[in-house]
Amino acid sequence: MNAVSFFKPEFFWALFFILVIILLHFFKRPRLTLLDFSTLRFFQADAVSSSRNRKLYKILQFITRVLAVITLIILFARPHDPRTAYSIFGNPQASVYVWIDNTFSMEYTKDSLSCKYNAETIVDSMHAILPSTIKLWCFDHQSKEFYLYGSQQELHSRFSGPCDIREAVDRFVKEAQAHPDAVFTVFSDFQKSTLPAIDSAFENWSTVKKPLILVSCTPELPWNYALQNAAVLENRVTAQIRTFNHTADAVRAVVTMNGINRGETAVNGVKRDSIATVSIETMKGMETDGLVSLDVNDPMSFDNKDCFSADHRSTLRIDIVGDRTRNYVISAALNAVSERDRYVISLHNESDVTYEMLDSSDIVIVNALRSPSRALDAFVTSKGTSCKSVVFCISASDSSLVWSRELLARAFTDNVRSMSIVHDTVYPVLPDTVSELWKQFPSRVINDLSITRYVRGFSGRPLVTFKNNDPFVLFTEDTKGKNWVVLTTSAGITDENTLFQNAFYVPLLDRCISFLNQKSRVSRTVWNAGEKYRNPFFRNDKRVSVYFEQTLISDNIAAQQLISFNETGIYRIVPDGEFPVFVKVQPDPAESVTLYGVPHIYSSVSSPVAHIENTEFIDTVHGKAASVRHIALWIVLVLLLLSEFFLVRSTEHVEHSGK
Amino acid sequence: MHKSPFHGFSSEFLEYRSYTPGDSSGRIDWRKYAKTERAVIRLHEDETNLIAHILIDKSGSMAFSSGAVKKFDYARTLAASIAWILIRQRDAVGFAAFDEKVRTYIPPRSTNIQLKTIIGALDEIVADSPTHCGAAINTLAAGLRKRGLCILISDFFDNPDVIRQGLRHLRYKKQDVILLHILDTTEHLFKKKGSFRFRDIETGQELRMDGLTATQYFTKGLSVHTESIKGMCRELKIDYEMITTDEPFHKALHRVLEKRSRLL
Repeated sequence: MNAVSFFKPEFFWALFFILVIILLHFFKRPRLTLLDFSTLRFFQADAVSSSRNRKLYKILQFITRVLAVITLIILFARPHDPRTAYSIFGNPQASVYVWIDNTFSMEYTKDSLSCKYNAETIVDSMHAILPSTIKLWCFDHQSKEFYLYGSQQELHSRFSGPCDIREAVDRFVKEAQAHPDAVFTVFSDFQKSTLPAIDSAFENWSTVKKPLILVSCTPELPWNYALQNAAVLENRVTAQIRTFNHTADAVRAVVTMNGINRGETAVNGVKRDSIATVSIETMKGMETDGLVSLDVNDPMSFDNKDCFSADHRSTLRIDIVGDRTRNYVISAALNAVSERDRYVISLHNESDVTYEMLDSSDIVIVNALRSPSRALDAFVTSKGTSCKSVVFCISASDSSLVWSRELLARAFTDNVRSMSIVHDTVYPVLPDTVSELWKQFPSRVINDLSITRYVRGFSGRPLVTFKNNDPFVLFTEDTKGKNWVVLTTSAGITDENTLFQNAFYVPLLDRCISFLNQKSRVSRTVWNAGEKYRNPFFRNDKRVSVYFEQTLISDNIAAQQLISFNETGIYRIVPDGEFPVFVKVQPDPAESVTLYGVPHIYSSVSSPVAHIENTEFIDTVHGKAASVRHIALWIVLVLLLLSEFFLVRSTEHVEHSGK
Repeated sequence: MHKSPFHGFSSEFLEYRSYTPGDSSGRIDWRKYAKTERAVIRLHEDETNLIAHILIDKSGSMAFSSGAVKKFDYARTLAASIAWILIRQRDAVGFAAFDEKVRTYIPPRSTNIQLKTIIGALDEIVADSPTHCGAAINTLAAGLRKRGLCILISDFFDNPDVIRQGLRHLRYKKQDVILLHILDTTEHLFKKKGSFRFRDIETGQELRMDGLTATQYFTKGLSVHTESIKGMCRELKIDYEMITTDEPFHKALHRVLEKRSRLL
């Protein structure tokens, strides 16, 4: 390998023009003309030597200029030692894949420059300095694909949303198969809320065996104010102000409804790292939606406002799978309590249901299975995209227990072997008032509810037991992260119990649903911007429109399993002929926290991982040797220009001395 | 060209002068005496008795021409014209052509045939020899017996000290000298670009030089040389006139005569 290579050897084409210039210089040299003259007495000896000197200076000037141009060409061609330069990328033929953190926290702005802008600027600079042999690929957060830098007009997707490093890493792993010298470069502020996603994405990085460069864009001395949990009650709007690393003084909170200022208050004396609640009395108006905003110039502006809506309802999509004729009572019971949270309930036979339906659901209730279901099998064996909650009713009949056992065996390997049907009449006992499921209920035995058949042997944390201490309602988690509430007897129309005929039936189901809803910790009315959520109206029979600030943004979303909104604000989802559902879309509140760290992978894997501050990255990319070489070339250029200057001076001197 | 320095017997009245003892009584203007009772004598202008020499340089440098007219052709036309004027004034005109030495000499005469002789001589001579005009002028001056007028036409590309010697000799011989310095346009306004091989047309010597250096050195050298000649002319009370070959001939002659008449 040669000691010196060039990153932009195409610039050497310019040498051809130098050659042309040299040839032109020699061809266009003034020819020696014979001139008969009257006298040579005035051309003294020093005139001849002066003429020679002038010619010599001219030649030297020409050589100096040519050398200066050649030096410039070499500078543009950017010489490097292939053994050392750009060693951070492994070799000068590397393919560099760049992922720029797309979370809201990258909008932290200091001196009018956000972390994201800084990262993009570094990538721009990197593209400018990298040789053509190194291919630079950037991750597009919209299409979730890497694109060759410079091949698109829009260099970076400005989209801010949930961290998509997982998609980037997955895509990189695929691309790296075709590019053996691929390097993955992460530009991130490594905010605490992003770190789990980054750590998770690099969990198996050691198997990838590719270099990883972590470029830190963490701001210095970060601080922030955040406005959260805005709500309205009659004419009073409340919101919480959170301070991070800073006290809040002389901050104004303003309530705006329909673009009109409806009230404001001054916030003073909020200590650092604390939460203060502001209450603003608003002018009476017809509006029910509005915006609270902080009139302050803090580094993160995206969390200085929060929307509120007085007329919002949440939705919970429940899909019931099993014998429809037996399960409609479950649907009816849940509809009976569907005032606060709007339940969107669908009944499916085992053969009708699809995986997408189950995966997009909030809670799946399985009861009265009569046959196996491929969709259910796939659902319980996969991680899925979103649905994490299952209510499973084990039918205490021989025909149904077979399918229940088979299905449960897919989710719980050790939990189903000892299941057996118990033929005994038992009564549920509400054991105490502090039970997780049964909080604030009196402890009592429900004697008017008789259960004649149930299943014993499924292990889990009992939520409700029978009088003989056998579990009636159990809670457990499977290996895929799903939360299961298991009833040891059927919940629909059945001869195993009189549950559906009893007043206890509705609150029991409601409590089970609420319990799972709390476990999944998903607020149905507040969505994070850019994050994908289950479409509560997926496969709805009616047309479902979406409005954002009175503007129709989607005609019908019934066919979309998952939906996401990028703009923050209040969205109105309106099924034809039904009450609308309001969704508040906001940046993830965790993005406001000014806590930063280092990814776990930096200290945990054997793969080469470099952690570099963004301010040092370009220098590191250049390599010190390249810098020294560049400085040397610049010195040569300066010396040549100085020589040119002195030669011009000398030529002038020769001319003056001749006068 | 000149005024007669002698007052003789011609019909052209010049002025009155008081009678002084020793004057012939026949020269007294008795009519004036009758009117004024003062004895005065009439003075008449003598028509001619000037001896002029026209000296022309026939060295090789005079053959140089950058345009249509050679310096030598210009010089001999000028010489012929001056000879014609002088002969018309009935002055005796002599002619000499020189290079290193005096090559042609025609003694002064005021006859009309003299003009033909001079023009014939001018027509025959060729400018082709090395210059040594100082020595040639010296030789010519040595041969002059009477006071008179010398008109010297040359490019004076010679050592100024030697030229000075010659001119001083002429002045010693009581010669009124007019020095006509003939230069080619290119010599006067020398400006060259490019590379040249200069060949001296007198000696055949060659020099390689770029135009810029040649321009600087020639312009400077000629300027110094000309100033030197002008300086010696001022010192020796010699009329100096520089004439370039691009100047129309009649204008140059008129300029010389006009200047001459102002000085007289």
